[in-house]
Amino acid sequence: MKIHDFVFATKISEACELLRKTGESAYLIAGGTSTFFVKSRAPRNVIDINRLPLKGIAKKDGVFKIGACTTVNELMKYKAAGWVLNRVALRFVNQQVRNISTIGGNVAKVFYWCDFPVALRVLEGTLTLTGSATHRVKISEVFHNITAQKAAFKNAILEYIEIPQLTKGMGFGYAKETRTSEGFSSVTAAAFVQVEHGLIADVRIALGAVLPFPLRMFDLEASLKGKKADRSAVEGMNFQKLDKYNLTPREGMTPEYCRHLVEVKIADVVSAALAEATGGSL
Amino acid sequence: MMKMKKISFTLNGVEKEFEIDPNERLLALLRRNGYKGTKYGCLEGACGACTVIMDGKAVASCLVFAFQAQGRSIVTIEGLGDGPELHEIQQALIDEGAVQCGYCTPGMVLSAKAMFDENPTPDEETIKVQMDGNLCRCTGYEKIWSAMKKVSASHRNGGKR
Repeated sequence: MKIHDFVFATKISEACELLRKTGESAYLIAGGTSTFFVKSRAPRNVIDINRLPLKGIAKKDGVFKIGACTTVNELMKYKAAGWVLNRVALRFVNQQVRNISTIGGNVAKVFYWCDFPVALRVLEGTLTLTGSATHRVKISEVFHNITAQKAAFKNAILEYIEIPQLTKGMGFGYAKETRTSEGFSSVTAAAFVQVEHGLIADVRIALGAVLPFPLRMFDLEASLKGKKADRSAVEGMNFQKLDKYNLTPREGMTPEYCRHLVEVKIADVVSAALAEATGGSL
Repeated sequence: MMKMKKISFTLNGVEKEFEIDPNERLLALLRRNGYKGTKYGCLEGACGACTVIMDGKAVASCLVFAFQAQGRSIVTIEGLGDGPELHEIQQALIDEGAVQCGYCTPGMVLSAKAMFDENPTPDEETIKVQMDGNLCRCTGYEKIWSAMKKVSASHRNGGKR
């Protein structure tokens, strides 16, 4: 990306005004690390929003409210019952990048390799966006498809991400496969399950990296709902449901290996989520 | 036409002003001003050779635009030690034989400094997580971990910080 000029915003209202005034050439950065991987050479005017008061994590009434400029390192170090994003943060590149990259940047600028959108798709929750007005939208609506995601973030600043605290009977699983520990993801998968009376009452599975945009695997989810919450549910997963997705092999993988890796990673994250939800190991 | 702009930040404890191209990376700015202990490596935040400390946190200066340093405090390897006296982390690396070609060492030392400043007595697991962004192709890491554990143990026993 070619930067023509840069300005700093210190208030949300100021950032919104700069965004409106700058128009199409405006480009928001917080940590800014992904900017180095943007291929477009069109000159952009950067608005640095990393000094906005949007840092930190607060827990209230079973919900975690995360400021968009909270770094991945802060997500990794935060400790609270029912907090799971530390698991995603730990797999995020390395300490130097975790120290500067923000969750807001990862969510607002979705590249195929982005980690947090995959996890947030299964955790659900809301985003608070401010443009001409402030509004709260469901993560499922924003990440419905790439058009909806781009529309939500156009001329708007992400202020907060809110996700529910996991409680008893719930579990989360996350896996990211990389060729080297710092490499871009080859496959990212996440799962959330809720178990009631020994049965899978709710399940959400999301896949990223092998797709241009993180997607929920609704067909796979439907095939798991109501099943007994044990190993048989994972062993009986019908991966033919993946046939309709045009998976993109990364890092020199063959299509066959890519498909195999996707199946393994989905099984892994569902197993991990079920194990957590049932309080044991599968 | 690119706009050249002035920025200022504290570099190794001294307030400095620089004229920068908006696209310039912090790594390039530091090196063209003589701070060559900050090394070029992968230029994509993976190797840690260009690590500097920004506001107390280790960051990859190849993934930071120079303008992002405006008003911040930056520490490079030139800012460590006191004249001929080495910083305790540097001394520990020497004592443990953890330096071979030395290219990764400045970044390694700065990552370690940021870690010890935040937590003077990290355990082995913490050391490995906090320093996972510094690659070394010579040592096999064992002697580096050993040096870090030695510093941590020294702090636990009341050594200098």
